[in-house]
Amino acid sequence: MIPGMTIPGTTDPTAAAGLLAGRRILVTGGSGGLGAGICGVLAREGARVAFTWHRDADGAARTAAACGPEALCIQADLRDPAAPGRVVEAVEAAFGGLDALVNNAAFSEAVPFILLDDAELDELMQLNLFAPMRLARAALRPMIRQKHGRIVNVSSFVGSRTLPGPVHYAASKGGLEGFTRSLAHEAGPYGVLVNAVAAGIFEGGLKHTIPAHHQARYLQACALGRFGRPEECGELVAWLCSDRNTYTQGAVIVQDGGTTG
Amino acid sequence: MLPILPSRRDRDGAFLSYTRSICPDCRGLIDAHLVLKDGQVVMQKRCPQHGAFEVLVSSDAEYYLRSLTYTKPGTLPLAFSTPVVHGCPLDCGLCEDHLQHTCSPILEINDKCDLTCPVCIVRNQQRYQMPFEAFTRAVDGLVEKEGELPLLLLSGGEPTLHPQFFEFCDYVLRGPHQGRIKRLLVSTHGRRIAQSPGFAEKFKASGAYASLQFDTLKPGVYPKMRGVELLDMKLACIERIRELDIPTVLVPTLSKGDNDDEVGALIEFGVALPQVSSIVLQPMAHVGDGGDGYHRTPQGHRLTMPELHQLIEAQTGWLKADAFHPVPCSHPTCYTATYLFRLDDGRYKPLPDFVDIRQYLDAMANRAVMRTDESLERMLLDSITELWSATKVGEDASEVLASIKGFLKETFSSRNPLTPDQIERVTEARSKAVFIHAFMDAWDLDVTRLKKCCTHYVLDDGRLMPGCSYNNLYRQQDRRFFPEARPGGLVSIDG
Ligand SMILES: NC(=O)c1ccc[n+]([C@@H]2O[C@H](COP(=O)([O-])OP(=O)(O)OC[C@H]3O[C@@H](n4cnc5c(N)ncnc54)[C@H](OP(=O)(O)O)[C@@H]3O)[C@@H](O)[C@H]2O)c1
Repeated sequence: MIPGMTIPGTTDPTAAAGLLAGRRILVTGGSGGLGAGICGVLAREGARVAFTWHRDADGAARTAAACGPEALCIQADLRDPAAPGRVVEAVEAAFGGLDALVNNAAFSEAVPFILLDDAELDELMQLNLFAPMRLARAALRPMIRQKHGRIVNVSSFVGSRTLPGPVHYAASKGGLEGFTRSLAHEAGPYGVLVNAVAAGIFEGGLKHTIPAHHQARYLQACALGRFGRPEECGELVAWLCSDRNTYTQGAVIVQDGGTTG
Repeated sequence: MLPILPSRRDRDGAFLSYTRSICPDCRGLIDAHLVLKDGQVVMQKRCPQHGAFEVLVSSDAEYYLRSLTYTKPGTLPLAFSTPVVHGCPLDCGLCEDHLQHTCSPILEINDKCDLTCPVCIVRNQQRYQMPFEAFTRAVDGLVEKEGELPLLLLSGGEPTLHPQFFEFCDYVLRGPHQGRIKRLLVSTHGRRIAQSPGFAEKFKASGAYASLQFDTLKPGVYPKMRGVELLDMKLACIERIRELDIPTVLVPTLSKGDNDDEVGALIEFGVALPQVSSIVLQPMAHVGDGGDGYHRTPQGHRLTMPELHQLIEAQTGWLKADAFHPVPCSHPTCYTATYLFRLDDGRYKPLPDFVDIRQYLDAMANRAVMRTDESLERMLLDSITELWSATKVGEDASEVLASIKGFLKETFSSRNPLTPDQIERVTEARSKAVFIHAFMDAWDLDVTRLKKCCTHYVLDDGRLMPGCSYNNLYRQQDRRFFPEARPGGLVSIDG
């Protein structure tokens, strides 16, 4: 079988059990916002979900409850360079392998660039860019071994557009998109599909870093006239993680209700 | 021999503008001139029956003229209540010619009070208690005309004596218009908060702000201004406010010769108290009991805007007169303000010290409360960039930059996601405002000021009355307070 494909014409075993039946998926930042929505959809589609959280224990408990008894809940500060390796190891140990990684955890704050010091730039890059790279590096080992894997990076529409937004945050997302494209080349031949979702404004923590008048402008421009719901991002991520995705590779898919397209 | 011709004399001042006012004796509407005289601005007017009057309007003509240059178009309310028939101020309600919507509505829910303050601008008859239905009607009407409001002030009388006081609070903050009226202020002498622990706790739980009359920090002043010594009670009230963390607006009434030497101390007191979000200084207006029971005329007792700015500078040292600017939503002679920003080291710095003044005035236009909107964002970003790029960054500049950064991290961080309402509270906690609100009396009433008034009494028949036209012209005809008042219009001597 060609890695990453189901053979046309064969019965699709996922149809009844869910798009992701039995798939072992790690989601970072599952305790709230988009991450919680993503975890919920993945679990609904039959995946065995592992997710990380950092400070929000209540949120983590809610996501765990929504994902069922098999859910694996890992507390980690992903700014710490050693954490990604440990997280992936924990998932492999619990699930016996890893089929997909969703890099979702991130942080932002609306501070003008000129006021940011080195420690602040470093802190944001550690979480938003380096942690996804470190996690992907750790996850690629089992994925390449099994010649099958999916990596989805949650980016933002400020990553590749000229929009008002925190400069360091936009840079981290721009970096994440470049990382997505090049890694797609490197990992594609081994059955690993790497993609990104450039999210518009969704209900989630990051939305609160956007002043109300910018949010209003977004809504005005949005073809659907509303903010995204975390589970809507989950639907797209679920498909990208699934075996139905066979030819979308290195793509940054804008999901913004028709705001910037 | 040639006859000696009488020589012509000049008038004693230079004519500045024409307006309309009322006669302090009969309240008839009469013409008035604003005149530049001896470096001041005075109002000269003549009543056919009661003769000529001259009253001080501004102690500094230059300041007065400068203050007129900043003006912004007013905002229309969603609806007016009365047509233009006789002209200002005979059509109040708001009439279609009124130039500003309602920023600060006042709703009087009773006229019962357990104090009889000589400086009170109301003349309490101790009989009226607003029924609940009348209250809801008034609030509904207000929301209909404004949509959203930054605040509503409940007044009286002493509103906390109304038996349904907390039901009123509930209706405003948690009733059908929940979220539409951002802050509910209660104008109070503070006695119930000071003396009834149960009441104070309920007050805190209601979510209302105490708008506390607070005139002095010295013994001996209250007996003159409020009829009895209240200092201990006021300080006890402050203690409760502190303990229960009740959001508060401090409202000193200022009377020249009585407490104008304490302006600086009162501001410092309010700035130091974390619960105080703003300090509203009200130079005494000689209206209601303040007219009759205190000084016979305002002559010699009037504190005008520039004079007060100077007093503040002299008494605080750090809060300079030029930090005060007219609040563009009303007439410059009625309202001036400055916003103070709390630095990380706990000091407060007037925003005009470090932001562009035009942007500042734009950002503050037509509003009573600081909000994080586009104009504030632009102002802060420009000020950050200016301070940061200045060749010589002084000690204060780096403190200011660090503090603005701290404020942004507190408000717009995904680690600490806040709702727009919470952001407003954080902004409020980071800043304080000092307002000066000069009400008019029959002596200096000026219809050009009335026309742009944004402080309106909310009547139970749906009308909104500019504060000073109501107090000077309409209150005596309000059947709620004066049931025997004869119905009918106001007197207009010249028309
Ligand atoms: N919301 C939007 O409008 C929007 C728009 C564009 C893109 N995005 C992207 O969507 C993703 C999720 O955003 P969101 O709005 O859902 O954010 P959110 O609600 O703030 O959630 C962020 C998640 O990241 C975790 N996290 C934060 N710091 C961490 C750390 N040091 N170590 C490990 N985990 C950490 C949080 O865990 P705890 O809460 O447990 O600490 C939380 O689970 C981000 O990649 C963001 O860039 C969001």
